[in-house]
Order: sequence, then C-alpha cells, then structure tokens
Amino acid sequence: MKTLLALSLLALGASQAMAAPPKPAPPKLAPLKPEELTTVELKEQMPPHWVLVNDISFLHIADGRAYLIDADSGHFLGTIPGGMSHTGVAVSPDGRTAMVPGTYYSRGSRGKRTDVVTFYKISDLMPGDEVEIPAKRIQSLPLPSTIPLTDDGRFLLVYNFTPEQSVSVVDAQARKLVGEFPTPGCGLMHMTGSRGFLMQCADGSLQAAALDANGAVHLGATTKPLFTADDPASDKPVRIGPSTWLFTTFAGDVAVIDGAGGQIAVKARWKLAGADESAWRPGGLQPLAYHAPSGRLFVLMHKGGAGTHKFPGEEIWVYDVAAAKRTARITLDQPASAVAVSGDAAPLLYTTLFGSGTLAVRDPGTGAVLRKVEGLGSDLTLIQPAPVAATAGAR
Amino acid sequence: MRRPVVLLPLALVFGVAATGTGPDERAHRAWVDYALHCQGCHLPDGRGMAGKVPDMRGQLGHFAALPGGREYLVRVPGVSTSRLSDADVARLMNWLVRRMGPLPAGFEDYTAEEVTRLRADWLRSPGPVRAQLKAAMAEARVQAR
Amino acid sequence: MRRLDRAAEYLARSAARGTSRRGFIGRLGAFLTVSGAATLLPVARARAERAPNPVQVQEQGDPMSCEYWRYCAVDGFLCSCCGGSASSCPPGTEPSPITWVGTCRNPVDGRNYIISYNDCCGKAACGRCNCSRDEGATPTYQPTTSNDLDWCLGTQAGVAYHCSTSVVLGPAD
Repeated sequence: MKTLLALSLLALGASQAMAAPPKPAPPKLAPLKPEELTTVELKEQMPPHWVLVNDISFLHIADGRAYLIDADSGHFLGTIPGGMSHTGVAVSPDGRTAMVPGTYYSRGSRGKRTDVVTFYKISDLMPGDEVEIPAKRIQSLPLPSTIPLTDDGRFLLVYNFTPEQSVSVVDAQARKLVGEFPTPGCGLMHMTGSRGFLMQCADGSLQAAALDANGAVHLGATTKPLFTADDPASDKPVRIGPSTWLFTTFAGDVAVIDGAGGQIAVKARWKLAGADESAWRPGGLQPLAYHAPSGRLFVLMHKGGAGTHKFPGEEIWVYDVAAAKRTARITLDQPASAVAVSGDAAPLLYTTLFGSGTLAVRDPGTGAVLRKVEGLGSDLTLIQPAPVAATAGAR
Repeated sequence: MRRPVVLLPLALVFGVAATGTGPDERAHRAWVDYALHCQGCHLPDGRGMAGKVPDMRGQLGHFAALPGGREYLVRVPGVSTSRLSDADVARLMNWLVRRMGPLPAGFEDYTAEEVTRLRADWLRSPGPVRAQLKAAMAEARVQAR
Repeated sequence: MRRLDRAAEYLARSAARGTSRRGFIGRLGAFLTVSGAATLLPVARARAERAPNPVQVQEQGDPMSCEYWRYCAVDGFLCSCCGGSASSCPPGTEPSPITWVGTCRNPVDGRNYIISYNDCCGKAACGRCNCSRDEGATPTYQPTTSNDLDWCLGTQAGVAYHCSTSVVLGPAD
C-alpha cells in the first residue's frame, strides 16, 4: 500500500516536472580554465604528526609498501613502494630521507633475486639512489630491529638469515655497501648509543656489538642467558633510552636492559600484570610503544595462555616505566595488532589491526579515537611515527 | 646411498622401540632431538645446503678426531645455544658423530659435564676456528698418504 | 610475515562484530571452502597424474580444517586447500628443504609425533585456509622452532611463500 502511494507520488512529480516552466538562465561566470597536470611535492622534513604505516600486502607479497599519513588531518599524503616481504622504512634522524631495504624478483614473485636499499626524499617520494646489498635479507614477520639506522643516520643495518646469520651495513651518507659481517647464533640489532647495538641469541643471552668509524661490525661483550627457554623474550622490545631497551617475555615479564659503552646490564625486572591478572599477556606484531618525554609505556594486552604471543591486544595498558607502575588501562573499541606513539610533547597514539586497513589516531591519555584513516591497503603491520630529531626541528 | 627425506630407515637400523630402554631408546631420543633441533637446517641425513649449511656426512668424525675439533662440535652456536639440556646434547652428539662418521678410533662419549663446560663458552665467531680445523684436517690427510 | 595471520584470523572470526570488507570476504571464503571441498577434490584426485599424498588411514579429522591435529603449530595457508595436501606441495611449487620442526599430539592414539612444517614455494601466497596456531613457536632469534620465518629461503625457485605442509616424521615419544 505504501509502495503504491510512493509510486503515484513519483508519477505526480514526474508530470509536474514536464509541465514546469523553462529553467532560469545560468548565472554569468567565467568559463573554466584549461588545467596543467602537476605532481604534488611535500614538506622537506616529516613534521611530528606524520606517520608511516606499512602494508605487507600479504596475498600479493611482492607489492609491499608504506603509506605516509598526516595524523592531524587524517590526510593520505603518499606511498613508498617496498617490494617482496616488506618490513618497513628507515627514516633519517632529520626526517628528510626514507631508506627502504627491499627484495625484488626479476619476474615478480620468481626469477633472479635482487636486494637493494632505495633512498627517497620525503619531499618528492621519488625513488633515488639505490645500493645493492647481499640478497640475504631476512624474510619474516616484520621486525623494526631487522633494519635499524645508527642514531646519527650514517649507517643502515640489515639483518640477514639464510639460515646463516649476518648483518649487512650500508653507508647512508656515501650511499654504498660497507660489507657483510657474520653474527652466528644471534639475530636482530637493537641500537645502543651512537654506534652500538645488542643482539638476541638463541640461548636467551645478549651479544653486544659496535660499528667502527668505517661501519665495520665488531662483536663485543656477551651475557649469560637472561631469559629461560620456557618463557623467551619476544623479538619486539622497545627502546626507552639512548642505550636502554625494555624487553617483555611471552608471559609478560619485563626486563630493562642497558648496553651503554658496550657493557650489558639488567637494570630492572618487573611484571606487566599483577598476581590476579595472570590471564593477561602482551601480544601482536608491534606490542610496545614508548613516549620518551613522559616516560610512558603503552602495551597491547590480551587474555590468553601459552602460544598467544601474536594475538592482537584487547586493551592498552599504560605504565610509568621509571616507577615500574601501571597508570591506566584503555579498553579498545577494536582489537589492535600494532601500537605506536609520536615522539613530540603533545603526542598522538596510533593503533591498527592487521587486515583492517584502518589506522586509528587516538588521544594517548584516554585512548579516545580522534580520527580514523581507512582504506589503507590490506595488511597493515608496523606503524612508524616521524623520528624524534625531526620532531624537534620541523614544523 | 642417499637416505630418503623421511628418516624411516633409522627405525630399521636401530630397531627403535619407543617404549624400551637402553641403546635403542637412547638412539630414538637422540633422533627426536636431532629432528626437533637440527634437521630443519641440516636436513634429515645431515647433508645441509651447499654454501649455507655444511655437509656433516663423513665429516663429523674427522672433526671429533682433531685436537680442538671435539670441543668445536659442541661449541658451535647451533649446538651450544639449543634448547636441549646438557645431558641431551651429550646423547645427541654421541649418536650423531657415529651416524655421520667416520667414527674415530678410541672415540670417547661426550658427558653432560663436558657439555656443560663447553657450551658455557660457545663460539661467537666459529668461522676462523672451523677454517683452522679444516686446514689441520687437510694436513693430516696429506701426511697419511 | 604470513605468520602474522593470527590477527587476520581474529578479525575474520570476529567479523560479525564489525562490517569490514576483509571480515566479510573471510566468512564468504570459509563457506566456499566447506561446500567446494567435498565435491571437487575427488574429481581432481581421480584425474591427477600424481595425486596429493592422502593422510594416513588411522588418522581422524578434516585435513582441510585448521583444527586438524597435525596443524598444532602451523602458521600459514594449508596446502590441503591449495592443490596439495598435508604432505604434498601443489603443482609447480617447490618444497623448502630446510624448515622448522615441532611436535603435535595425535588424538586417535594419544601419541606425540614429530611434524615437519615444510613450506611450498615459488608462487605467491595461495590465500586459502589461513591457519595460525602457534603452540610451542619461539621468537625469530631461536630459528629452529620459529614459525615467523619464511623457510622458502632454502629453495631454488625463490622465497615466494605459497602454502604450508605438516609432514609426519615419526613418533616423538
């Protein structure tokens, strides 16, 4: 009955339109001018609230990439291509240059393998210089400590696994390969000081190493196993100081470890969860974020037992690291597999869920969603805020 | 003869009885540990991958016979840093040296205590040690001629 | 990398709560897998010059389901859904010789078996029957028991990961 009424009204409208008087003449305006097609150029330096969001493009894995987002406006600024099994982008400390260690096959997903580091200016996102590196770059779940840059931006390190373990070093200033250095038994490079790093070894020990003035890697001090075989440290620690890293185990134990001067010392051990919260564990692809100016640690937490270290977080637990104390629990509207925080004094908190294509920009105090950037490819992995040094200078 | 990918012949060689004790049980446990902690890279028969993972077949015994070689076999990162206990490593190595061969004359079994001592100081740079041992091996071969 | 699918799986499972495109496709995909498997597979096998290895007669369960006992530490796409089987690579792909190895308990006889999680390689991800169970898996710096690594690094064809097998090597107890 209602439908019939609607149809008759439509018909009435149509007949009225036919009977309507002629349209008034369009206003007199200047005609549209012919246009010139241009290409956008960006700021030379990443401002504090620009953020790179990496997409491993899991089902089309030869086509990984990173999206550059202005988190203040939610605008999509541009794309940096990444190749096969894309990990992430190393951004120079001044926020002007992006370096992308990538793997490419001559026939797309097959053929001759070439690994290169490609340099992009942030201002034009155009592929520039390229340095070929040993075709041994680890193909794994993306880990930031497989592609770190020294604090001065001089050397880029790339972790290799063939299954022999080694580190390739690229001189980012001269834009050439320094060499490949074996690191048997140990993997990942967690940077300490200006030219040092810590590696994690299979027995739960740590290995110190340092680059000399030419970029050659020299192995240094070692430790006894610091973690047990039953509850290993995850390979996703977070840097909380120039030479200090905060490690979490699968079960949620915390170890704060300092590597200053090539000496390795455990500074503190505590637990993320209280005795009555033992069901809660850290998890995800990027479970930890640290905001240096406020000393706050953000951890993705979920309820689960052994073997759930990749589960996305249902909540974000916030800690005062110096006090080893939790200060807040944030319940998430949608689970998150990655968390990050901008490094400036008025920070933004970022989360994403693998498979969601959405970056959530949040208030770090309350976790409230300020805005969402949607439609970001398919398989978002690591979130990389603008570097801290860029944050200080750029506007 | 090359062994097939799946280590079934082993059961025939050692007459593996999963519930038994004694040599058969020890061999089975050693094989299980090898399968879980080694063969992912070294492959079921120890052939490894050229240029990436060394071929252990017909090699381990030569290493075990050299001064420093016996120690090297345990001090390499893959053995020392494994999640196996010291006693398990000893059992595995005693089985593996025999299996890869050639068994050196007068070979004495590794003990858990020996493994404890060796793996406490595992090799962070095994490459040069390995090169030295290979050179010594080549020299021994020349002298034997 | 493919090993991050726990998150994707989580999303697919909780898709009812959201409206994401991915979640919808995930559910649709699951439906198609179930309805297609029973009708198409026998035909394919009958015609094949070299059929996929079937699971062994004394096993129980559906080898195209992530819940199948052998997959207790798998993380990737099941080759059973990609033209292969739990112990066969799909046509035109190359098995990774090197891999990681774990144990799973067979509920039928209650015994633990050693399972080799060889990847099949040389074509990009199959994309079907995503399965992520991480029982006993360790971080990447403990590689012999890590499922976060692309084990296709051992192949000639290249590292492109296609799907995962779960080959029984023998009893572990």
